[in-house]
Amino acid sequence: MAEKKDVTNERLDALEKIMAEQEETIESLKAENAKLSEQVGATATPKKKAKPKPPEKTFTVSGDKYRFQVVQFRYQGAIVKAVDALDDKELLKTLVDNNSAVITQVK
Amino acid sequence: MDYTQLEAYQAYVEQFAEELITKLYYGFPSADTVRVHEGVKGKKVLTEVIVGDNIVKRWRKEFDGTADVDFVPRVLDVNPLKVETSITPQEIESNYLGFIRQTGQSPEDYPIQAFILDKVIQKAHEEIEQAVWGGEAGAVAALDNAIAVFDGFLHLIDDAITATDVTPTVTGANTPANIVGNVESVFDSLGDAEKVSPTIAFVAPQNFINYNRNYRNDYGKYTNPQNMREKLDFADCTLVGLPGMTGSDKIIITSQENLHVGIDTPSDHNAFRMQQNHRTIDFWMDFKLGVQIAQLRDGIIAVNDQ
Repeated sequence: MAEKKDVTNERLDALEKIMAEQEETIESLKAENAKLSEQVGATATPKKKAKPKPPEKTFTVSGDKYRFQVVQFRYQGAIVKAVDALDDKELLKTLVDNNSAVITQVK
Repeated sequence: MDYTQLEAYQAYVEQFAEELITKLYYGFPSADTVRVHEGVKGKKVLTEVIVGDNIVKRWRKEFDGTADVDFVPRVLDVNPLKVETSITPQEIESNYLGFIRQTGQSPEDYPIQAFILDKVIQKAHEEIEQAVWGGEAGAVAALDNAIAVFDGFLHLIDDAITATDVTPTVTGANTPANIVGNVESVFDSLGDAEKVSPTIAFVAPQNFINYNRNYRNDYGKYTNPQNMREKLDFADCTLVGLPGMTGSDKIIITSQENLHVGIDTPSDHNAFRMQQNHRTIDFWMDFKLGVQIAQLRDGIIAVNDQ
């Protein structure tokens, strides 16, 4: 009986040893996985920048209401931000007179 | 003469398969002005290489070249499409005979099979051309036409304007009184590297015609347009009127190498298929098509606000 108990204890020790080794392997694999995930993060395509939106504020020319459809446009060789153009009444009137598609009439 | 004999059509297709395929896939008007890629099975990545500023520097032993070159992948995606039509040759017989007598051609040189397939190909060209420029994927969910299957060049440009990658030049609507100035304003917004390279100004056919009228009226000179193409007088730029842009007032200027069309076809003998259905002959063919603009940003491509 005592002999049988010793054999069982020996087997138990061996199993515990194997389990400990496997735990170690799991831990090292986890660490490697975390390291690889970090590397993937660094080389992955960066997230797309948020799409800028045209200003929601409307403006009025000759009694009609309009708003911008683009964030920026090129006028007489220079790039003009739509938000800045909202303050330039002369430019707004020119855009309306020219049927420019950077603006749209709001009904 | 029995024009409904399927074998005659099949024999014609087998004999002239290469010519027919070339005519179909390279015959639509824009094919001459864009870069066509054949054999695109699903996706083809057109990588744009953007080299940063100041890569030529004072010498020193340390290496300092990181992040100077940026690779921007743009994917040319092809989409499955099909052409299907039923033809009753007897209905076309009188039209064909009239054509043969009018042109003095011999029916042996230009058989009715060629006449019919040419008509099918012409119609397919019209629809491919419209889709290449005006296509908008899923614009009308229920629409099965090619124009609703993938985004065409005009839609890709509109998306780039929304994303502020491309800034449109304000020209207003094009008229026979202002279009010469409008084309020049759009050209001026190109980067210097593009200005000194050969470029193409793409417009709708009516705008092409209006450009010539405007030029004649303002400068008292006749231009020399040929096949809806003409060289502009101020740079190495060719104005081209394309039916695919009909309905758009856009002026698009960029190099020919920047606009790409991808095509994939089944093997040659399977490209055109047909089956006799009583008095009619059913024609069908399957292929894949898509478009992409390789470099879609200010300086490389210039557009107006229309």
